[in-house]
Amino acid sequence: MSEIVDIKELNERIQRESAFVDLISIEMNKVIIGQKHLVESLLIGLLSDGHILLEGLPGLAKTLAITTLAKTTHAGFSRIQFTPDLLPADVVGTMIYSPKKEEFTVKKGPIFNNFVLADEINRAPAKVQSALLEAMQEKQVTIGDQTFKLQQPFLVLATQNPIEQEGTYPLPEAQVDRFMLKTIIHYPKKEEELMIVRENLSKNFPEPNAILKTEDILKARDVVKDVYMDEKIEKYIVDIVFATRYPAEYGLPHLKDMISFGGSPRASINLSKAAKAYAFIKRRGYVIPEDVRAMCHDVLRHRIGLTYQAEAENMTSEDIINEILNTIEVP
Amino acid sequence: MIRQKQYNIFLILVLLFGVSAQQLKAQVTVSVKMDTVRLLIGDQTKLRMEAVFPASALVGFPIFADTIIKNLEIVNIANPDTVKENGNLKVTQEYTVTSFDAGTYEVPPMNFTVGFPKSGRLDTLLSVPVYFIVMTMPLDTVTRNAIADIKKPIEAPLTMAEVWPYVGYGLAVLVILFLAYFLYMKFARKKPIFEKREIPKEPAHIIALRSLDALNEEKVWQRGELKEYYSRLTEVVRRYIEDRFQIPAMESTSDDIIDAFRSGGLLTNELKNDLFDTLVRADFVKFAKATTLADENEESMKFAYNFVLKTKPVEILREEDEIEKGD
Repeated sequence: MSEIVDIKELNERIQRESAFVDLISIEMNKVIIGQKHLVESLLIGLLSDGHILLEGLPGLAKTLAITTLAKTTHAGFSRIQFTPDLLPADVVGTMIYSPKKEEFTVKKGPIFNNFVLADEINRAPAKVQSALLEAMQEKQVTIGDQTFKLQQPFLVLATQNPIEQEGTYPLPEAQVDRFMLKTIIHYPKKEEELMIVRENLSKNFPEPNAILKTEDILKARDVVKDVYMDEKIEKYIVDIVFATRYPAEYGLPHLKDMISFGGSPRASINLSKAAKAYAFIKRRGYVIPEDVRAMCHDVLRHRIGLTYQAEAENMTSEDIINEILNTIEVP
Repeated sequence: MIRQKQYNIFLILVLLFGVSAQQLKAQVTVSVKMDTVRLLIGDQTKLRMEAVFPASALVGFPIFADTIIKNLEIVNIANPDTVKENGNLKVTQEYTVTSFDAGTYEVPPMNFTVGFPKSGRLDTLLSVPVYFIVMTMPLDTVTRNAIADIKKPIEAPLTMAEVWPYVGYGLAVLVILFLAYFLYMKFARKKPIFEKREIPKEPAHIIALRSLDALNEEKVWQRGELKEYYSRLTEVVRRYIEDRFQIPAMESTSDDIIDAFRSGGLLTNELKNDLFDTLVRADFVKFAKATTLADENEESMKFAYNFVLKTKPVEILREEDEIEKGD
């Protein structure tokens, strides 16, 4: 690292600029009870310009979480319910012929919004999935002969149901890789559920306040990029990702037969971005190993392919990540 | 008269030679015997042909291939056995025989050829005939008409020759199983078959103190290499924690290490706080390019020594050792 970084100044700047994170968290916590990890993942996706694949059972406040985030940030929101008969045009938009004007006009689809909830993404066929995933990657959509840039910030929150796999179209590995994070959400705790019930039965369901504008998010993204990441941390990240590809070289020969493919370079990039964003929401101007470890599961769990042997031995990608984290020396 | 004399002389000679041949022949005895005279149908018994004769004579035994007589089949032919007995030779030829037809049989007299090489005489001796009965299974005469179960074949006694193949198969199966296990461990599991015994290491505190001494002597922070200094200092402390407390400190973050000590009562509060301060300070230097004062660097080193010395295992001296020391 040859660039000269004034960490003290950077730290102070980040302390200042990240103040809104606490405010967003407060507003979201007014509406979303529990699911701290989900809220954190949304913020990380938002701050590091990544998309999130959410896996959880129905009724765990996935839609509520993203609508609340949209409300707190003055951003546009749309929800697409993925079904087997959905067409790419239903997502991105289409050309409609106007008999009055005697010409084709563009009808933009729901993707032209800041926050898009792709509900049950695996229920639509591959062509619809790829239309969405292409837009996610390119951040632009072509309808007819016109190309339209998508609004910024642009965050896709796709959901998958871990049960009811019948009649679904599982996302191919190459497309899953485009999601920065795959977050797994679980049931709330007993006392949290009690509060959820009470809040839903009360006459005044809490409404979040708008804290910041979309421009503030774009500004915050620039600050996140400035978060200092030491060379040791970079090496630590690369070691973790390499261990998913060549476990034997990292003292984990028994994982060799369990992994069919490991994390791509996109995994290293996204782990670095997510670690920086995590340091930012923890209001730090530099990344520490704790940040990397905190983001490791969400960034890597959908990027590790398991072999039949691993499935036969009931080994999950979570187990593999845990073993890797418990083996690679922390800098 | 002369003719009568000549005839008498010839008769005397013939009688003389005849007597001497008869004497020699009398020294040769042959016999054919069976182990039993009542043989159960299908059962096996031995038929022995025996000849006792002087060493100067030669005896030729009758030769059989498949049967001795009709209905007396040969199962096995043993090698002839020769024994010296009172200056004579005794040759025994043994046949294992069986019969599958009930009835009374006679093994007729058998021809044994006797030769006297010195005189060039050749003669034949006949054995005594042998009689035997082949019986069917005895019928139950009391309940003659009663319906009875089919009897199982009589089991022959188990011989080692029958057992050895099974022992061999068993051993072969064991060898194959061991080889399969060996190959599985070697290639599938990639685990060593015979794991090496670990050589006992030096005590953790000895290694840690030596490393701290080396770091101190190298005057790393004095040269301005703060990051290097704190990296090595925390590595020594973390390795010591791993070896001394079996906490995987090398693979844990500073927070994880503090958490591990927080849950157990392994450290005093003072040591816990100092450890936390030192690890956080080191993290600042390592990951946030922080610069520390000389006092802080010395304080960190002092803490590292203090931490190792206060947590090293205490040696408990036996009473005899103390007495020896006192002497």
